[in-house]
Amino acid sequence: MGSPLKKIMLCSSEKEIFSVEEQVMVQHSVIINNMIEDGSYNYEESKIPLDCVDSKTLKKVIDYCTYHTHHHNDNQEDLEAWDAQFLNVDSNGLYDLLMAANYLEIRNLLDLIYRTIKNMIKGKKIDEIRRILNIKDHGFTPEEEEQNRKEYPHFY
Amino acid sequence: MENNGEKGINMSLMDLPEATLDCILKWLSPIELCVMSMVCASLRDRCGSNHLWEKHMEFKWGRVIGEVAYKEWQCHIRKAKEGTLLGDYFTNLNGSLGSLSGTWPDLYLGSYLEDCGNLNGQFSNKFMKALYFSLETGRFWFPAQFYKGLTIYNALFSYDSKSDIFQARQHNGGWRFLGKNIGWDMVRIPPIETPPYTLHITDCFYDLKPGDHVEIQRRGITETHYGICVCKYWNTLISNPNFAKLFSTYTLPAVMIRTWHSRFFYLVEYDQIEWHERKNTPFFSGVFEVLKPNDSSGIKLDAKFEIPLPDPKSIQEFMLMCLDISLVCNLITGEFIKLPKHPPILKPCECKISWGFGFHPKTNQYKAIRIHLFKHDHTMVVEMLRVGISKTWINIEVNYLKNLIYMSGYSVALNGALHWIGIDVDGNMSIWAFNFDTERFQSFSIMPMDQGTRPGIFEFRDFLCLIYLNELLITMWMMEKYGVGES
Repeated sequence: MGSPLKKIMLCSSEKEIFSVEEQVMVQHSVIINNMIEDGSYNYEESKIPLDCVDSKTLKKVIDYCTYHTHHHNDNQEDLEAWDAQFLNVDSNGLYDLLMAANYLEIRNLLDLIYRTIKNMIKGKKIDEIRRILNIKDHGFTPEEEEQNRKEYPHFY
Repeated sequence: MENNGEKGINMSLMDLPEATLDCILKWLSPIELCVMSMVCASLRDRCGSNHLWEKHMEFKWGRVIGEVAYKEWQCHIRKAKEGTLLGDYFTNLNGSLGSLSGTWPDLYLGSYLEDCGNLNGQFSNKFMKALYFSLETGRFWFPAQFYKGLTIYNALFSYDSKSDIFQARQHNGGWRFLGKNIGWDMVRIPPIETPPYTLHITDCFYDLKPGDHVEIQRRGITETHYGICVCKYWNTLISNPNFAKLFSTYTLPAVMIRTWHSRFFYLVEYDQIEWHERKNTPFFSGVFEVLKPNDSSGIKLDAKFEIPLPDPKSIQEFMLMCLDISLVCNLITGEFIKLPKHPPILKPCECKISWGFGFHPKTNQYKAIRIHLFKHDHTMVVEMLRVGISKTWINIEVNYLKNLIYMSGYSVALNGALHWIGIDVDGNMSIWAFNFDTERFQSFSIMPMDQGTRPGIFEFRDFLCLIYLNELLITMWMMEKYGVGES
């Protein structure tokens, strides 16, 4: 591992370059940790291309990692409040973050997003869930849909 | 939805890669999974997949659903898949029977599924989800053990999700209720897969080491007897005095009843659970209430021992003897030994006979004692038999027991000696002990008692105890230091 202040370069899908403290990314992202450890990252020239992460999302991911690196001693409530604020995005933003966290293998962030999605569904009626999750075509035959609605009216 | 315009199109949950979607679904609770399965068609199959439900099964049902129950469930699923339940004939049935074992009429049902019609179509492909819901709704009566203290019943259980408790029924015959209000902590997975009613062949006896923990399940006296012929190890085990002691400690007291002049002993076995429930009802008045004929209560009268005797009139106690022939009965195995004939009583006159039967730990011998106390001159004749060794009763010299007028009819075996209560002509009470080692009597004096008090002698927690009963109170004395009359 490099010294705390060493910087690494991340490159978004829009070819925008973000410079981050190495420690921040190493601590959170399994992928970047592996890259640094096996020596495939060259501090002088390399930048890590993240072709499937756009700048807006990458900035959020870096925000998350930085905040959690520097505030990991904060009390749980403050962290949770920050997380809630952090994830106050629309469903597209959430999916983008999910994909980025998935790609970079950031476990904490993944769990946080899973929990958030679960909470979005929790206690909701099926019609609401369809709207929230942006499911336009449910793919059931009209008869199947009819039968489900008849059988479980309290879910709709 | 602020940046709708930016992207032009909104992403949907279904656009996520499958692995990611699965990760999200793993976080959902059973009920959320069900809701999700109705959100869209592709989620329907995904939300029913076994790997999602395995976790929920393990979490909620892992403690009570074992291999046996899974096998039973497989059997129901197979039946549903084969479509046997969908035929004209079978649709009239509203339940699916699990495996059957045993031979008619002693058939045992492995499990039962109510309303098996639900299993058709989509459900039958989703093994775990279907199992989860059949358990949750109480439709699947699964095999497990009901245990309470040291009493264990094998039974079929059904869950009630509203009150979070189980009800249990018997496997066989009458589909009889064993109990309601059974909590989670009283249900467990049977430790072995073999059903209780089929012979479990094990070689674990060969590997038994000192210190191994052996759980001996007390499962009704009727069932215990089946063990006798199984192997000699079992026989050795139940012949072991330690086992016998434990057995009688944890066994509920059962009453043996013999109707007058009958050759049969009836063992009154009661059902602990039903008994318990009954006891809590205000109408419970006592054991005799439930002994009425044709009572369908939990108590069954079981003709247990038939005494191999021509004349049943003369049997006094189930423990021992009668006037001309004596029997020793092992209450655990139900075996009888006929003792050799007594020598005739020489002086044909009125006498009181006391009996004793005990075990001498040093020599591993059982000995039976018969004492005649002659009323007219207070003399005693004591005869002893070394059971299994000698075939004749021998006379024991007692020249110092001259003035006893009463001796308790039964004896208490403790510390390698038999104990009786004796009262002499002056009304003094003492304990008379016959030591198996020396084959001699000794006596301890004990607390004097008031007139009109009836004494009793018992063993309690390895101490000799005396109980004085009179109309007003019961006093119990415990002899703390053996042989010391004052203690």
